[in-house]
Amino acid sequence: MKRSAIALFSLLAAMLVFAVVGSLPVLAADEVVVLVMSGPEAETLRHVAARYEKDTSRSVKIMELGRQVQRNLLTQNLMAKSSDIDLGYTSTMEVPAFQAAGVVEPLEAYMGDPKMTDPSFNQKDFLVWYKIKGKSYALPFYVSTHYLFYRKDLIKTPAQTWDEFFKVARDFTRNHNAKSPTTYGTAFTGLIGVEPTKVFASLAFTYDGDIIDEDGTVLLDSPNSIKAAQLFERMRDEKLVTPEILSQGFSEVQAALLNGQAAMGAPYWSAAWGMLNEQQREKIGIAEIPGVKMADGSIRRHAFVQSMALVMNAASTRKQAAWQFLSYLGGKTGAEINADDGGLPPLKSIVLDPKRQAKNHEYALAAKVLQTARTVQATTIYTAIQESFNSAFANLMTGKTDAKGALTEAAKAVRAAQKR
Amino acid sequence: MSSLSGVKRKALRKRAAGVLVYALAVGALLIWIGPILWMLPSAFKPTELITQAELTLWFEPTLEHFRFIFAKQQFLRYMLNSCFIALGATFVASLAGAMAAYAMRRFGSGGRGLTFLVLLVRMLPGVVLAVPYFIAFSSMKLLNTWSALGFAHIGFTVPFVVWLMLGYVDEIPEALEEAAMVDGSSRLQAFFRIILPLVRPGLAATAILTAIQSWNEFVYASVLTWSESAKTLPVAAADFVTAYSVLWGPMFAAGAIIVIPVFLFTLAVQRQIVRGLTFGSVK
Repeated sequence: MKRSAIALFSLLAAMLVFAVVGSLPVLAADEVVVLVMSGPEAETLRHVAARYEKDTSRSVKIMELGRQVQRNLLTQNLMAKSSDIDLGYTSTMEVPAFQAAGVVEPLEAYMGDPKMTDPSFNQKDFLVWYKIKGKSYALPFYVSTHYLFYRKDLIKTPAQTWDEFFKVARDFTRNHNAKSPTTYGTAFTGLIGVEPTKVFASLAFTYDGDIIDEDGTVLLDSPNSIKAAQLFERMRDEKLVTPEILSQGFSEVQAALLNGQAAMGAPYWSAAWGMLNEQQREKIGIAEIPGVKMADGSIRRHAFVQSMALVMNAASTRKQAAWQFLSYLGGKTGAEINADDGGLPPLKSIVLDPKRQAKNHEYALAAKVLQTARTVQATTIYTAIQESFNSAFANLMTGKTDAKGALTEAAKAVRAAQKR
Repeated sequence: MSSLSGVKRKALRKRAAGVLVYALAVGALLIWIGPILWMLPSAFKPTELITQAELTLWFEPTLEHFRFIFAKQQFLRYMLNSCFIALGATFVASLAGAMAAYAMRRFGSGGRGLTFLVLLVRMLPGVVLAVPYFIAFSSMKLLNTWSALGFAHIGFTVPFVVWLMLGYVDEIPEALEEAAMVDGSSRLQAFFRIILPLVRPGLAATAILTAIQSWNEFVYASVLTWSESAKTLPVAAADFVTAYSVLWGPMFAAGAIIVIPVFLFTLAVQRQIVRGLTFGSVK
């Protein structure tokens, strides 16, 4: 009996330990919880949170997770109306779907209240700001746009137009020039998933094409968009681009540039610049993405721009505290910490500051690029657009179809998604 | 003469078949062990050697990735979380599962339907239950606690324990318990004094496999525990797939931290596992 009593007692004790010790509250009642994707932005948010806690004695908990886990959990928490998180990191491209589901909080009511808002927060100072139906649902804190990256130790002047770009790319492709120090002329982030649509947007905008307009008209198969997609076709046919393009993400393009596989990376993310060390920056240069020469001699370019942003959970029970941290992040101190970390905060007072520009020459370029940069029209079917375009892009780059055929199919799929 | 060559041909064919079987076994082993053989040395490689296109076999080992995961990330904490959850879930699931199996066999508890249900739960992909668990634990304010993940792990390991233990309980003649009960033991005493000692090898093997399942589990862990106070090693390893890049060095180091304890543990208890899994197979 003694043995069985001990065993039963152990079982109950173990369950009790799980139930009691394992369930102790892990957060202070007013602690703001921010769900962040690991990476440089998470690092910056940690630094800002540490300073915020020091300055205000309020608590912020940064919960950092890997790319896919964070995306899934953010969606899950928001859609389940869970109050376990207060703020979530996302791209501004994802916000419309959350807004349509009514799971993110509009920020206007908080922004208008000086008692809740950091005194240095000034919405007019933002270079980019995103609204859906006249309301703000996300605070952009990290701008991400496309540049042309090039091996400045090999290429003296970066290409200004796509025609020049092709000429340079051919010169640096070993198939066309046996003496080329690099294997391929160019690389870009063609990784199937979230990348191809954004890369295409930079090309399409430049050719006066688009993906979808504000009325919801699908423009993927418009003549100008097709003209833009023909650039991909040319890269494919002339074998100017790295062959593993469909699996080439951010880090692979960076590696290709650094290890001599590619002479240029375009369109390629601005964030890559912040990740290069001084030694690497001596080898790699950045410039505006190439454009199209106009009749008056000017060059039309519109790089795609998105922002990494924080959204406020509509089910949060600490909204006021969450906004206090948000406004601090979007205010002077938050943006300065962000800039000191090598990030690109969306504030004019930082990006246009001559001292900052002298310290980080990316800021002068960013200021120029952001003047004409554009984003894809906010839409709740962005995921469907991405899926359709991914398939079109894969077919195009693997030679199964031409630019026109690929975009016609993609547009058809997007229109079907709209009807659903 | 012809019969001799027939014998020779037969022997040759047998030999060829043996070689083929070995080749297939080696091929299967390489497929299984290949990623581990790639991961372990890579955990000690400098970053630039990991990402370069050419394979480097000889290099000066570095501990930089381990330093990074323990100093910059809270891997000690994550190890503690993983240990506690795996051990707790294993203990509860083993005991509860063994008792359930005993009841199902001796009293026919739940009938055939329950046996089928246990199997059904094992057949369900984990992700099907992840969202219901998330909603339930969220409403109980238990997300990001050891207990949330512990209970979820108990949920999927109990059917595993029950299913294995059913076979082991079957091997024990009912007459043994009856004899004990004739001598004055209660049913519970008979279970703990007669059944448990007899099925111990099987229970040990089941517990070991349960602990390994819980230690490696990712889906529930990624949905239920994402704060530092409860995050487990597999979820922490996935943190190195960042917004822009994969931090291969820390990822390999984290992989090594996850795999090595299981490997050593399995090596230490392999005799028990083999004994447990073959328990009752020879009468």
